[in-house]
Order: sequence, then C-alpha cells, then structure tokens
Amino acid sequence: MARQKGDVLQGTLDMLVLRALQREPMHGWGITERLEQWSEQVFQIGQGTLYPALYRLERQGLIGSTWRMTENKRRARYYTLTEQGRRHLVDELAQWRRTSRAIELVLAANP
Amino acid sequence: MLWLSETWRWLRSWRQRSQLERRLDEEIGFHIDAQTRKNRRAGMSRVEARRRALIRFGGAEGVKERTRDQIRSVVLDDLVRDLRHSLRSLRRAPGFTLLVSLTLALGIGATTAVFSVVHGVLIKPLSYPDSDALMAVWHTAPSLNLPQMQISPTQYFTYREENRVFDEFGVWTVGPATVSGLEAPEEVRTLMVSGGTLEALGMSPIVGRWFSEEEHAARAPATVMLTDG
Repeated sequence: MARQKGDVLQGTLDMLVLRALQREPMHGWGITERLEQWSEQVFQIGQGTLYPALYRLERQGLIGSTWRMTENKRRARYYTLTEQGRRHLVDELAQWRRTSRAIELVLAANP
Repeated sequence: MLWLSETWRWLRSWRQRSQLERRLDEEIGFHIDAQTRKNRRAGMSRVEARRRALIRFGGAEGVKERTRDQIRSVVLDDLVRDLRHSLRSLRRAPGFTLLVSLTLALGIGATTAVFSVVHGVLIKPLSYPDSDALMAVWHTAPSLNLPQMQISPTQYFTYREENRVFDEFGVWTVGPATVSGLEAPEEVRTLMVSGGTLEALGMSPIVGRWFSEEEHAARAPATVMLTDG
C-alpha cells in the first residue's frame, strides 16, 4: 500500500466518518454519498479505505452496526455512533480546529 | 475454570470470522448495487452502470483483503494481548517463574523417564513376529497357596507329547553362570532352554543357528549360545 494522501487522511477519515454518522445511522454507501455531497464532490472517499475504517472503528467501540432493511427491501449494515464515539468525535473536532487554525496562522504569517 | 471460557471465547471468534466474511461480501455487494442504481438513474445502461460502479469501488478483492486484516486482527489481538500480558506478569516475578519452570521441568522429565521404562518393559510388544501369540504358561495351586508353580519333568513330557494347541513348545529357566579365563571372573545371566523354546520365537538367530536335536539329547555336552543384550 503506497503512502499516499489516503494514509495521511486516515485519522481524518475516521473523524469524517464519525461526523457523517452524528445525526443518524447510515450504511457504508450512504456514508460515502453523504461525505461526497457535503464536501461538494471534493471527497470521493477511496472506497477501498472506507470499509477497513468502518471495521476498525467498530472494533475500537466508536461505532456499532446492525443489519436493517432499506426502503428498497434490501438488507444492509447500518452503522451507529456510540456514546464513546460521540465523545471521541467531539475531542477530534476540537483537535482539528486547533490544528487547522494553527496551520492557517502559519501560512498567513508574514515571512 | 477461567481458561475454559477463554478457550471457548477464542474458538467462537474463529467461527465468527467466517460469518463476518460472508457479511462483508453482502455489504460490499449492497454498496456496488447502490452505486449501480445511482449510475442508472444518471442515465447509463445497465452494463455501463455496473462497470462504472465496480471501477469506482476499486477492486473488491483488495477491499475485502484489507477489511479481513481488520477482522483477523481482532482474533489475533486477543491472543497476542493475552500472551503479552502473561509474559509481563512472569517477568515481574522472576523467582516464581524460575521455581515453576524448574518444577515443570522436573515433573515432565520424571514422568517421561518413568513412562519410557514402562513402555519399554510392559507396553512395547516383543520384537518377535506375531509376539502376542507367544505365551508363557505357569501352573497354579491356590489351595496349596502356590499361585505360580513351575513345571515338573513328567508334566513337560506329557505336554510335549499331547500338545495340540501350540505350534512350538518348550521350557526354560534362568540362572547365573561364571565366566572365567584370562581376565577376572565375571558372573553372567544364563537362560537354559529345552528344545522348542527358541524355535517358538519364530525367527532365526542373527548369527548361527538354534540348538540342534543332538545337543538337546540327555548327557550331550553342554552347548552355549551368546546374546548381545
């Protein structure tokens, strides 16, 4: 696996996935769609990294999953944010805001 | 009995693994179907829609492999974590670990030694062909308090003449003998046999031959065979 932007985003991807699930449970495809829409097509989530991420997050206890029927009467696995996941998301968001603000400051500073 | 539930849990996670894999297949299938439907709504043909969906997904096998790694690591994580924890505890109590190791070593060594002997003497079959057809026969006279009696000459001759059960039949007894000569005298164990005893073994000696009829005759000069045991 090449160390490309996918890897850099792993921690960030986790945060985005948790954010996508913040309001309501969703299945894997729905998560990619949601992130794609919200990011105005910037994030075409490498679907190769999404499912490993989902399984990893579930293993860490940040999300849970259940099988449900969609409107089209298809069976899909829906992921939900757990309490631990919510707390983790809040922490990550705060951390991200701090980091990105710091980056902005550095980039905007007069040399 | 904690180890029992731990083993059960560990076994169960292996079973869950195959279940997880099947579910993963289903989940990925759903994802690709959903993307295909979206493509169709955008106006693509059925074939094109599916093709694009598969490309977009980017190699289902690769995804499955990476996800499988995540699943696998759950089971492996548990095992490794438990092992590491045990090793750490052991390292923190070196005296105890040493004592336990020595005790185990001693116990295992002693048990192995005892069993080797038992196996060699009692359990291992004799190195003759068809060794469970070899019988040793004693007489018993419980009312005379003689649980195990040896055979008398008359009994021997009677058996020899009337025997219809055994292929070969002979008697033997053990005793000591002294070998003297150039060096200091040495006491060796001997086995005195009648005709038929050695033939009953069902094989030929490595070198030479068994005793012949003339050598078994009364008042014939004593003949000796050597063993290498």
